Amino acid sequence: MKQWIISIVSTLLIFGGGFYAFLFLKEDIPKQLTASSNLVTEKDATIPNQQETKDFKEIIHQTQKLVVKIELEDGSLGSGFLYNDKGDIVTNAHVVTNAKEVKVKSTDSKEFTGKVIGISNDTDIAIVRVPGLEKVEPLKISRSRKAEIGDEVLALGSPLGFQNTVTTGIISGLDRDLNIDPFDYDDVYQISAPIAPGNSGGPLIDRKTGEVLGINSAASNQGTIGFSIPIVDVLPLIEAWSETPMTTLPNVTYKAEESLYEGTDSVGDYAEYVIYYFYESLNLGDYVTAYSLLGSSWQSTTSYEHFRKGYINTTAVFVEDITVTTEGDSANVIALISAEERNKDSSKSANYKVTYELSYENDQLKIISGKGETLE
Amino acid sequence: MYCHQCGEKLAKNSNYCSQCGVKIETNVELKLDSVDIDSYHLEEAASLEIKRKQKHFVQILPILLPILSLLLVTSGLTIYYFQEKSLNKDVLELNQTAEETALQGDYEKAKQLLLEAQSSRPGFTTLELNINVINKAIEYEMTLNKINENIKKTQFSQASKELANLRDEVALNHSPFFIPFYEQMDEKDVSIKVGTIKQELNDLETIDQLAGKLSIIASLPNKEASAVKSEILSKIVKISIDEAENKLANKQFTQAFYTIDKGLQYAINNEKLLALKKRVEQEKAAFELAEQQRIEQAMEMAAQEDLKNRTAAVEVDDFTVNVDKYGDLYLSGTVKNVATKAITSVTIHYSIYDENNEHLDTGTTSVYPYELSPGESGSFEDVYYGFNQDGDVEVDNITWYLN
Repeated sequence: MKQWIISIVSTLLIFGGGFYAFLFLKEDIPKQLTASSNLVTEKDATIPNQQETKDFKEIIHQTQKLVVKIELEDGSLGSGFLYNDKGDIVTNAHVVTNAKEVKVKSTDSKEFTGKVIGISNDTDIAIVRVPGLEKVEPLKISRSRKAEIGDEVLALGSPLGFQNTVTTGIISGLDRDLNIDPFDYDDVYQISAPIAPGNSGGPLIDRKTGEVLGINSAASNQGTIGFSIPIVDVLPLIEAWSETPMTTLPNVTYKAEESLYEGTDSVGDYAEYVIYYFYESLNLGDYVTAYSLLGSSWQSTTSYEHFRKGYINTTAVFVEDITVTTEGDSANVIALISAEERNKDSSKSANYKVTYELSYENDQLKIISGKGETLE
Repeated sequence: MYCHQCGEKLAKNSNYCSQCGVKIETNVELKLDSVDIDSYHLEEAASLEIKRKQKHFVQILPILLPILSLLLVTSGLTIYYFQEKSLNKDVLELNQTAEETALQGDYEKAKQLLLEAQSSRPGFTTLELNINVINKAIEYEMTLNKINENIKKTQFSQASKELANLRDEVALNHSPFFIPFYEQMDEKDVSIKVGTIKQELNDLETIDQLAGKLSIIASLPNKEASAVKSEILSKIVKISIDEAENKLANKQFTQAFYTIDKGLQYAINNEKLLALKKRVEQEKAAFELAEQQRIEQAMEMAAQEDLKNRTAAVEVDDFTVNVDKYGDLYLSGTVKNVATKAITSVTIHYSIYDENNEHLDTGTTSVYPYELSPGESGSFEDVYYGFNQDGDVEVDNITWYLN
């Protein structure tokens, strides 16, 4: 009996142990499944966007080498910077206006000749290709990032001809719009770094990364306010020119309307002036001048002889009243005039209502057409 | 007492069986003894052998039982262990295949595999994580498909909104697994931008507007984008040409040049524009030449007129000379102002010749009225007393002042 008890007890123990082992295995083996998911990792997998911060002096040194002084034959000065390995230098259009070839001076006083291969007539941007600077590693361009207010910046260039000048400041304003004839500056940076004539075309550098943010283009006379064209905005233009150099350069001139008369007179004021001038010339007997104020189509259909005959009996003309309405670049003038006319024996006064249409022709405001009716 | 081995009766207190020589376990035997004595007394001699054998089996059964159980339990556990282990391996394999499938982009299949694995190993957290991730991926894929449909339906603003939302959502995950989604989203972004620009293209009417779109396009590295780029460029050329021709028709050459150059800065070296530029140059030159000629002609005529006014303003219409019965010579006539301006103080200078045609005297007379308008006539007369002969009077010169 004793044997059996021992036997049964030990058997039970064995089964018990077995069961326990089973439970243990059941628990433990699934736990042995250790595989980290290849799909989920805690590591930050987004592309590192950390900006490299460089040493301040290092940036200045690196950048200076790639900023050049641009000289024109007429002695005017500007700056520019190398932006690709083709030897292309970015500068302002106003620096190289109407020049085909320019002299380019690098910081180490080497002189090169550059050719203008791209220039805009409404954005103050131009590209000069300098074969001598080919294969030189260019300045880094901030291709996507736009500057923000408060960004610390450096302006490099040759203000007043002093090469290698560095000034510092911050972006003090964004999206400024200004117009310095003939160029439109849209959404440009306002900077506090002092710049002067000669800085034009120089790079605006991000103090942290050393990348080009803009092209310093204009400065105010008072205070230290400068304007810099964001490079991102003009990059497509610049790159297109680098790829396909222009065969003929545009004439960068002042826009027609502004060049015609000083100040801010409107076309209406000018039209009034032309009509007065017309009658004054008639009164003075200067019919040629009066005739020259007529538009080409009027002149073509009315010879001077005919024109002259029309005023043969008119001794004097007075403009009594004048009203001008403008529409775009053209103006309509309605004038009441009284004319003293000779008859066979006596002279009489006649009143007319004349209507003239004036508009620009080859940059001159001309009397395109006119008609008159007699008033009783 | 009997030997537990052979059943031989043993001598009292003997240590070994006399029959088989086995050692007697006295302690055990003593207890069994009292039971066995009664039973074995009743046993028959024939059944003694079998009983001895049964007794032998029964005797070892208590030992056998634990041993067998141990064997059973160990083998069972071993089999279970290996089974479970291989299940682990299978699950791992399933998981790996699922991950690979997922990375290849077949999320539905990956999910199936993972669910299968999960049914075997419900507690495996990696599986759960992976299923979660894949569920997300499936969701993102569906959103992307929806965006794609919107793009196809040219509902770009809707697509753009959805894309922005999706981007925010995807950005919450930090797994490299989602990188392909960034690529896909970037692709969709390009499609949306290009599509939007294409859609807007028809409404853009100025070079500046188009140039703005051009700079958006320039940042998109895509075939689709370059197609739109050339479309924009050709539109810039067209607008530039239209505008320039309009300016040309109005003889606004500078503005025509300006417009052409503006177009040329984008459509670099475009032949049409360059040709038009040449034409504008020619027309400008022709226009200026024609104008110059007209003015020169006018000036010439004005000079002639002036010359005539100064040298031939007065025409003598009729001139009569007669001597009356008293012998006085009367001369009279009319003159006409043929100038284009009024003249004043017209004076006739004349000479008188006698009957022998000898020069006798000179005289001057003024024309009345004092001022003659263009085309107006005036008269003059004079008397030479005591002439008393036949003779002749000739007008030498006429002087006048031009007003």
